[in-house]
Amino acid sequence: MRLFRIELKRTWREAATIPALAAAAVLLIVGVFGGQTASERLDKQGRFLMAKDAEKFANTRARFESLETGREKLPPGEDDPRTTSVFSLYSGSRQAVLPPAPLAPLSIGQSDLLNGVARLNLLNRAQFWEGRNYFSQDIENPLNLQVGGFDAAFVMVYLLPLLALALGFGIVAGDRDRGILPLVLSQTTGLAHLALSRAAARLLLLWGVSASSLGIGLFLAGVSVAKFPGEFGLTLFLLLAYLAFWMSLSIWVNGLGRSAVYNATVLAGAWLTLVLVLPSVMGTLLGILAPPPSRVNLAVAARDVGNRINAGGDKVLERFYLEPGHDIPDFKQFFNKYFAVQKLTDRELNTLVDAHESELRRRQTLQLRMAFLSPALVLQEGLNDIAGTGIARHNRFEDQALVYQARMKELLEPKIFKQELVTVSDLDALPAFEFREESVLSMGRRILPGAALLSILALGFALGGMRRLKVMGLEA
Amino acid sequence: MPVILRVIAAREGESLRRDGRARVLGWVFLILTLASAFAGGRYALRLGQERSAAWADNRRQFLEQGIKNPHSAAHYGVYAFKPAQALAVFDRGIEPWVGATVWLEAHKQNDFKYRPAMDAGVMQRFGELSPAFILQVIAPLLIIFLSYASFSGERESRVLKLALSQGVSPEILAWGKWMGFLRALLVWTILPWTAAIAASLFLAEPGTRMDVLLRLGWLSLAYAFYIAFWIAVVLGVSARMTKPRNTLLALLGIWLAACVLVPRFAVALSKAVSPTPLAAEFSDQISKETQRPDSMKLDKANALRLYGAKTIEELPVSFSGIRLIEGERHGDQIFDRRFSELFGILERQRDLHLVTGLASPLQPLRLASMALAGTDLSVHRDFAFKAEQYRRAFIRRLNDDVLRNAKRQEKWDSDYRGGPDLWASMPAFEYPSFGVDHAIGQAWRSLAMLSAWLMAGLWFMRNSARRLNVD
Amino acid sequence: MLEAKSLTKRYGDVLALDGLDLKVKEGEVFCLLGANGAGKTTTIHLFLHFVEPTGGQAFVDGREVAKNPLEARRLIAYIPEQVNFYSSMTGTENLGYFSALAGFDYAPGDLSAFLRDAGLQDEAHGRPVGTYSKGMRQKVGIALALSKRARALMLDEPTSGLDPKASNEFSLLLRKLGDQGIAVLMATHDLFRAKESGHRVGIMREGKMNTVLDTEKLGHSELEKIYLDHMAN
Repeated sequence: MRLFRIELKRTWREAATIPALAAAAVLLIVGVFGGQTASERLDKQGRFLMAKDAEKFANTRARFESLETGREKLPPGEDDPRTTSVFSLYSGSRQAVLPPAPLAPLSIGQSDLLNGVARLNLLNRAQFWEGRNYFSQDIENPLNLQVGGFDAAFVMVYLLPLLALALGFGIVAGDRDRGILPLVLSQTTGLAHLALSRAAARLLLLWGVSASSLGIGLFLAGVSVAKFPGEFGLTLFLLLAYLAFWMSLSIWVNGLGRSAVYNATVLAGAWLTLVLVLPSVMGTLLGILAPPPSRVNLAVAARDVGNRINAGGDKVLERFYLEPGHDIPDFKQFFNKYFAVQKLTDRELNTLVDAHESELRRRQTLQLRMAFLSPALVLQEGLNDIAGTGIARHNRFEDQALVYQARMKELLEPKIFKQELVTVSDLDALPAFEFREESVLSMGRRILPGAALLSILALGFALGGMRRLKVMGLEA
Repeated sequence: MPVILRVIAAREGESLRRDGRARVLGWVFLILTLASAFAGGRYALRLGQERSAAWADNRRQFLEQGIKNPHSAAHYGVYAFKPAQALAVFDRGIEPWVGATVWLEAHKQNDFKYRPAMDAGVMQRFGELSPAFILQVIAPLLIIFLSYASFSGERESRVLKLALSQGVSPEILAWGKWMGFLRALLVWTILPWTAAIAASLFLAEPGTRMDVLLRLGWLSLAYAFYIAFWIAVVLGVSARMTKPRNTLLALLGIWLAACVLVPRFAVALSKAVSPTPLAAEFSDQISKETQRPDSMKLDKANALRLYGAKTIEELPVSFSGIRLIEGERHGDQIFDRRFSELFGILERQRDLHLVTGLASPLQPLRLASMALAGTDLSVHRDFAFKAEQYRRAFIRRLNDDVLRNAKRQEKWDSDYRGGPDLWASMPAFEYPSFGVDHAIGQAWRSLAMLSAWLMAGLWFMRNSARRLNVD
Repeated sequence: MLEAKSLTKRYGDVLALDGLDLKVKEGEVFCLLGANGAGKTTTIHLFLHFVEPTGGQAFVDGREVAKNPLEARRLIAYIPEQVNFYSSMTGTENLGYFSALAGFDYAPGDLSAFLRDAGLQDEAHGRPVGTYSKGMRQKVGIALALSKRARALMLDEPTSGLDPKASNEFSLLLRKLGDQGIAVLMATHDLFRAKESGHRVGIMREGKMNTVLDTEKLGHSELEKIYLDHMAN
């Protein structure tokens, strides 16, 4: 312990320490800022849509109320907007939005790719998930998507290991190169103990500075971490395990007893392999072994279903599209038929879409398992989870949106076929969609296995390195 | 070429051949590039098959839609599928990050859907394992590891003194080494390069093989420039630094900045300087602008004036058709304006990426590579444009049919029907892809910048060699 | 053959060589004696123009080195203190490569002949230099000097780290080179070797040539005494 304190002081005074720590602090704060910009954009988009949704709903409700109380009388010949079928398709559609999670500035993750917006009505799933709107997802330049943004997760996954390695590659080899090793060996403290103290001192300094920089960055971004101790605690624990892995790898490499430049080469190679090459190799492998189910094929299949049912559907669809000037005879009759056809289509499509979805999720599970092979992926997936920008939270959103849609159907469908009008109390029975966050505990259950794996690897490398260092003389 | 250059180059190559470490690195590199060419080939093949199958299915579905009003058929619409580019084997460019298909229907210019990256997961964010990625990011590292000690290591072992005492100028020595490494790198990349060429040619449409070959020629040139640049920089730094350890660290720093940091910085810069509109606001604006509140009255007055008629029933064409055509005309103007604004922003962002090329040669190389492979933004924009032109012609044909054949009445004629003959008379969408001249038009700025980088690199190497310190 | 006129080199505040005047004739073996930092290596580096002189001139065969360093290097053969070659290449290959750098193109048979002349046994010619001892590497260096048809030879501490037998062989080789008309400039702190192989010995201290002695006229103990005297004052 005393040795650790001495090393802590000594490390602080070393030439490389302060630049490395300053770099970590600056990069992390800039990274949080980058993530904040992205999550603010998502937030703005979500608020815009929800505000429009609320406005539309309020207008509808006010009109229905005045019709219900008889304050407003429909002129003869005008169709009643409360007709359930019409309402369900137009004024009754609701917006579901996935808002950014509290710690979203930590990682942009998949939030720039996955669609966190759904327009919900009674139409079939395949149709609304892809959306008939102009943009079913945010407008992002593909060039930017390809490279990825500069966020805190990028700094943590890519750059902090390099700083850890820069602090760790010479813990023993540096002394060997300077010729101090004989002197060190002649003292009673073992090399293993010494290396461990040095590595621990460096690790704690780097981690401590990183943790406080993240806290400061989030504070500057308007997020008080004190309000989310669970999420922030998970972040720090995951980061500690990740950095410990890299620091222990340095101990192990130092245990090979070679020169500092040899260590630097090996460690740079390890970084390259684990952070840069392995994830993309794994991605390719996954693409070959388990290609994602094709959305194009799903769309084609869905069209075939639609064609088939429509062929027998009393030519209903063709008359559906309400263009200005399209004159639909027998208004209510038309929509009843339309919904009857829709219901049939829905039933068949659901089978297709369910199969597609479950294959997609099977693949996601496989991918999460494969991610255990690369520490960088473990950290990235974990940070995405904590920042709420990963696949888990998105799936949760899809599930909740489907439940919401199911409630909508439950409420409205019977009224369509009974040809009833929608009432104000019906409107109030279905409040606006609100995303329910997952508890930290259940998120932690997903993240902790990865963190535990990193810790075990760290321990293994540290012990392995120390065993070699214990028996090491001048000549390895 | 002076004999002495050849001698120096040959020795560099020979010692790489005998160096066990270099051999291992070389094999790893070779396997990675071959694997990536294989993966790229599979990707392009699968994509091509999927899209051409979907294209055929889609056409069949349109033909088999039965008897209905042509305007219903217009709403039924068709999908346009972007054909896979043969050179996606080599560089997928933005392809995984943009939608593969766009739904062409009445009244609307839709966005592209089904980005392949959407379902690929987190791993893809770490980079595609494509030959382009390997050459852009991994090859510089290979060069660094193989040649960082080329001057500083020989200085440390005093071989440098001996060599210089033989009366060879340091500059010649540097050029010779540069040639030696360049040749070794080119030899290592020949096999995977050939594999990529073969796969691309196999996947290319028969008529486009010559075009693909020309593109490959330009790509080879661009990548050769890039590799030559890195060798020059590594030799230059190695000539300046006294210790191999410092040389390695400095070079890794340069690599990190050029290949990891600058590209991400470019993303941040492009978003800050020229942000894209929010999707929700963009579509909201379009739907506001496309509304035509008094259209019924307006269309009626215009039609009567145009044909010199007093009532709708007197018109020589159907008013239903006029309404549809006028609606499209109005919408198209707005789509033209808004979408060209949007693509303008995307292209400005791309230009900002090129500006950051002043800080890293990877930027111009990436852009040139995508452009030459036909997987860049300009091809995507062109496809979007041609698909939209097709949509308009397609809808116009259906609307013209309504114009000619629907009842001469003011009310919408919902009884008029088109059938399989009409559907079959609609031409299918074929996308004629650009030739190599377009690609060069897109890539020339990047290629010029890359050449400037190579010149700068060689100048740096020569200057460092001139100031070479033997101790 | 080799001449220095008020040759001076300054590194910042340190005067490494202070107005050296020196002449080495063809066929003469001249030894620079002195402690570490006396200016011996600097002198050699200046003749090879590895460093820029601060003042004065160095001449090789009457041509000023600073004006045409490459020409000077072509006339001089040089063997550094740590004589190293490319370790993965054989002795013959290294010799071929380095002589090519000097503009020669020898057949393998010629290269072997040079190596043989320098005293390297035939069986070693085809082995990688990485397996050689220091003495063997030095012989490759001598072979290089021979192959270059150099008019002058510069050696920096050639015998440090050699065993007595190898050192002796080396001295004989140097004399042989001198007999062929090559001017030899050798930096050393090995008194005994300087006396054995040199015609003249120059004693250097702190960048200055303090005295020049004729080895023929001196005994070993005499030389040692003079050397220590110069070091002491």
